[in-house]
Amino acid sequence: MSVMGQSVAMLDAEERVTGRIGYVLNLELPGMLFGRILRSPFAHARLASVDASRAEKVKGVGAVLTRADLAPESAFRGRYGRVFRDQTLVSVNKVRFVGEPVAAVAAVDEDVAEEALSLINVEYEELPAVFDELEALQPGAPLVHDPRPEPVPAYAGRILQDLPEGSNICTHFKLRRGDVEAGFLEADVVFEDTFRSPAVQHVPLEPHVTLVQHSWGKLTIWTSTQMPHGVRAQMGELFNLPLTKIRVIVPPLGGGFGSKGSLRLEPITAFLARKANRPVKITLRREEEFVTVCKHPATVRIKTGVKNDGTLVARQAIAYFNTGAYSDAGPLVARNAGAAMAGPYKIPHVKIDSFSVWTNLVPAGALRGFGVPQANWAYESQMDMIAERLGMDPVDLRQKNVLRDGDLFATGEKLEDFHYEELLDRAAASVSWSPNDARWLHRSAGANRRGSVCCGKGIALVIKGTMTPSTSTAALKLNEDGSFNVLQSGVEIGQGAKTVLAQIAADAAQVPLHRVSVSDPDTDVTPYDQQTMSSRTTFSVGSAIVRAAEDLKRQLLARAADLLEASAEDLMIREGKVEVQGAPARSLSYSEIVIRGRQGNIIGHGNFTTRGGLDLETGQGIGSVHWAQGAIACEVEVDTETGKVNILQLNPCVFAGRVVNPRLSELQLEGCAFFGVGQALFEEMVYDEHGQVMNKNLGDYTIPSFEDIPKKLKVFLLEHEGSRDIHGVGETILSPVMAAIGNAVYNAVGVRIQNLPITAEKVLRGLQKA
Amino acid sequence: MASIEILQPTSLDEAVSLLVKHSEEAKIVAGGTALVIMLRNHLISPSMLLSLGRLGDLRHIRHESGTGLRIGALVTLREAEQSPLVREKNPTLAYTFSKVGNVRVRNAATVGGNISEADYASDPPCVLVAMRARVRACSVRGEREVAVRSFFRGFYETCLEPDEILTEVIIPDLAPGSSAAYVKYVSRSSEDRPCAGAAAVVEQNPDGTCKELRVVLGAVSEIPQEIESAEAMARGQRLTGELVDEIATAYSAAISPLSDLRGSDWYRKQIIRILTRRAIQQAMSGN
Amino acid sequence: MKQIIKLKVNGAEQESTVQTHHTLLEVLRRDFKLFGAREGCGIGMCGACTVLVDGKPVSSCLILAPFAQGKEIQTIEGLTADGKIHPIQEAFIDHNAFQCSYCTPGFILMTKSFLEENPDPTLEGIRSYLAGNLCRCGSYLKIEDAVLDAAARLRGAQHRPPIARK
Repeated sequence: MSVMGQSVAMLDAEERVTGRIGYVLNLELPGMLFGRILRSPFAHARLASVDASRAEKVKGVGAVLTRADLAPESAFRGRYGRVFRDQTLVSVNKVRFVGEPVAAVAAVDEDVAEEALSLINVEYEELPAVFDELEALQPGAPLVHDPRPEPVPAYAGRILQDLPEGSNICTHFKLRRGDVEAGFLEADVVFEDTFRSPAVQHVPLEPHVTLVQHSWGKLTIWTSTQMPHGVRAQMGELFNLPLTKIRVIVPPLGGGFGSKGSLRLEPITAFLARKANRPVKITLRREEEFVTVCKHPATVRIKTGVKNDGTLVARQAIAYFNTGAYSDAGPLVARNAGAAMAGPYKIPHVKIDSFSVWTNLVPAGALRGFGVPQANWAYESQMDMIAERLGMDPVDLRQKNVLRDGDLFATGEKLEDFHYEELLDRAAASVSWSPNDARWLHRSAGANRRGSVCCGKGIALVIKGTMTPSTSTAALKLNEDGSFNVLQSGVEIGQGAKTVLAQIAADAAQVPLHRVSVSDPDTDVTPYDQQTMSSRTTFSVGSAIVRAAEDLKRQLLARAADLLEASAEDLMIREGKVEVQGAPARSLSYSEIVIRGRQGNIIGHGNFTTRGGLDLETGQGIGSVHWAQGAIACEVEVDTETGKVNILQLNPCVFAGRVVNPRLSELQLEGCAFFGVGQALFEEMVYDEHGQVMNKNLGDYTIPSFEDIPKKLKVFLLEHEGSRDIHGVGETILSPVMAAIGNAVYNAVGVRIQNLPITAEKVLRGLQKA
Repeated sequence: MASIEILQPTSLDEAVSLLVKHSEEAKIVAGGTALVIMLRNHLISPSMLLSLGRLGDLRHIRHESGTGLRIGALVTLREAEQSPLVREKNPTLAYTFSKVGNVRVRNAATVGGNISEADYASDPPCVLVAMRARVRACSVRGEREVAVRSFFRGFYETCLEPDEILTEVIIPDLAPGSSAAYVKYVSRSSEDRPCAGAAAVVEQNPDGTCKELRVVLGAVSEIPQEIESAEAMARGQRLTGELVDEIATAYSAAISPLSDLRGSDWYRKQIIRILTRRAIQQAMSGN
Repeated sequence: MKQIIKLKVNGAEQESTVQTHHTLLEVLRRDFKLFGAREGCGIGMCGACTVLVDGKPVSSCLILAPFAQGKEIQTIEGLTADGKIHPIQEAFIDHNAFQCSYCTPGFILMTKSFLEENPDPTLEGIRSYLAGNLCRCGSYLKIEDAVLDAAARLRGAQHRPPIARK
């Protein structure tokens, strides 16, 4: 019986509930030193001098890193970055955000390291700083990077425009389809609205941790990262080492959500390990996490033209993604959001300009949803606003315009396997939606009120792509006892990757699940995978595993043919055996094939590569190998005296293609829903006027607890028999949570919030204004 | 971090003598929850900690008729919350203790520690003020009693002398015909500290008019806020919806709240009015 | 300043030389290699560092090591007896009540303490008691199911099988 579609418990469940799961956090090596980082107290300042001479003399200090180590004479290139090489290990000429690493120390324990840090003398000359993405574009705004940093070769000419010097614009994504000006003329009405999202923290409970050992010129790096091969490649470039001299090993993570999707502590840790000639481990404290990476604050201006009957005709959007002091994944986030900003709707004329902008805030990077949350907050809030202005039911408005099979997306792609009508119906039914639930269609005012509390329902849709083009490879190594090691580089971040991939491998190789073991990524041994992001692991690595199984089966058949003295075409594979068709007694188990054939191992290789890309000027092309589709409905209660929003119901409905493990998929949907509740109602990094994060801890920055989750949550996973693809569901339903809640609040009390989060105070202010 | 010496006296006498000797360098620690956070954030760097953890006394929960509840300073918030005696004699107080932080914090934090910390965004202080509680403090100079009403002076500041240790809280029984309530409002996650808290004690005359009203607002200002002129409006009157609204409005007008991550001063002004009303109503309805 | 502390950890007498400003969490991880308790926030908010001290759940990140002197500490590692995992752990596995599981030992120890006081809990009671433990991955609903199931197992009642939420 196949294990596909079974809710198998995570294979390492027992280790997890006994606390034995091996995070990098637990690792120790003999002679290991502990690293601590000195951080800039200024948002923008020239580094006048850095003097670490006293720190170096502290007993127990193994190495100190300052810009002196990065001098050109030292032959250390020193610049890195995901898309632009705009980062250095520690500050060189200036600091660009409060919290930027200025120096680092590795010592026998953290106390000594801290003491040494306190003896490093740094002199700063403050410069004017800029924090807001719109202000950063004003003429005369302080320049965060001057001259423009050089792009990483892989991206130059591919996703980057040639932009002029003297601006804080990092990248500019363009999408042009049809003629948007003509579209607006054709429309009966045109609406223009602006929406804002703040900076938000990922808060994986496990912080960033990295341990590096330098031995025989080789760097072995154990690190909490979502991109093992990406780390290896970037470290190779940075340290000018061949890839064989860098080994990245990634045990299970204690959460990531995108925060661990770029090079982070690895460069500093490796540098100290080399300099000290001892292993070095750096673990970030929670307050340091707050100044390491965050979600892009964004301002999105959407202009939509519609016919009186609700047909969408034209959409123009201008989005500014505040990527902070360093670009990180900013260009990709802005692009991803731009490509998806038309929403899951058929709109003939679309013009999108999506910018990533440098400012002196904490660098922003990938956060679950990758720009789509900010885009969706805008377009799904506006859809309800449009429905009201036209006097239409917002569900009807969406049904009228939603993309269907055979339609063309804003990128020009022809879409297939699309199920929005069903998802929307399900979502609406889950809260018993009726046109009455739209505030402007209420039959009787006050029908939804009970004392000082008003109820309201809201709906939102989402379309989200997965990184395309992308590559995953995997190997299936058959051992002499008939068991399999699956060699792959997808990271176990808590989504159950190792379990789901084992299910796929067991099914493809036709063996029981317990005979399959999935490796942790180890770049010396496990073949290439792009990264564990973009909801791609089950689909992409899984597909590579299936191909590896095909390759393995071909080899098994060939070897068995020799051993059975039969022709390979006459053989078939059934339940871990190769047998002659029609003569099952003439068979060999996998184990027998390996042993009798004296093969040692038989290894099948599989490669899964997708093609795609968007034109730099028009954004037309292939944005995603498939598009994830979701709808979410919610019901809220608003206390009109305090403005506080309470979520009664939140029901995610997602098209999953084919579900490998229903319970683990449910967990992703539930997890996304709760992740979104925080961003909808109270999560926000608060900066003071000097660019300092004021709420750098989990007491001042609150995330959803057991008592913040909706009273009821119903998950709906739509599967389709004929679906070719497994749609990753790790991110899909997060993006529309905020707009669904915003729409529900509006239907409850008539207050439209356009700047997240939807705090009680904002709602009360809105109520009092009315 | 500088070296920290830890003193662990086993009697109150020993504790107060040590405190006098080391009042410059020593910081008192009871449950330790607040202290460790401050150490970690480098807000304090004491060279010495005087732990009360080994004091056998100061852990009592007693009730004396005529006096009221006597809770030793080292009783944990969880013990106070779950004590059958506290629940019987003063259910509102037990409830208030149960609202502080989470279960783990309450297993460590002490009643005395909570009061001496004088954290403006804490639940118990405004309730203790409303209930006219008193604290006892001990030093080498002897013992004294202070009304909780005059105990809180400012942010994290009380009238305790540097060489004094808080030993006990005394909460008088509510007068017959009285009822109380504590309403806590959090503006963000359920685990957030309060944006505002309102404690109300209503004492009624046999004819249903109000004999005395006490309402104290917490977490809206440096110290708990009680507006006597507003309370006076209730004296001898029936607490109609209209009158309660007036009192609530008076509270809102009289208090200048602070702004923080949980709400602006404007917002707190609105919440003060709402919570004052709700606390009085809840007290009157017998919870 | 260094100090020797003697305490009982998971039933065994232990001794360690600690710095007075280090926390019990650091001592458990560094000196006793008990990795089930972890730091998530450093300020007692998240519960990933939960251990039982004299039977009561506390945040080990907020206990200075010297104050653990003479106490009985139980960590998640102490829940396994004679190689058999605890019914609460079984229930968590059956319901897959975790994703990255960084918070899981904390939740399990809290559940143990909770069910000792509330053998037949309500959903409301569960949410209220466990509200001080944060799960960023958002496994709350499965945790709820697991706690109800664990309660049933401990009462000797019928197990509550995992339910698919449709």
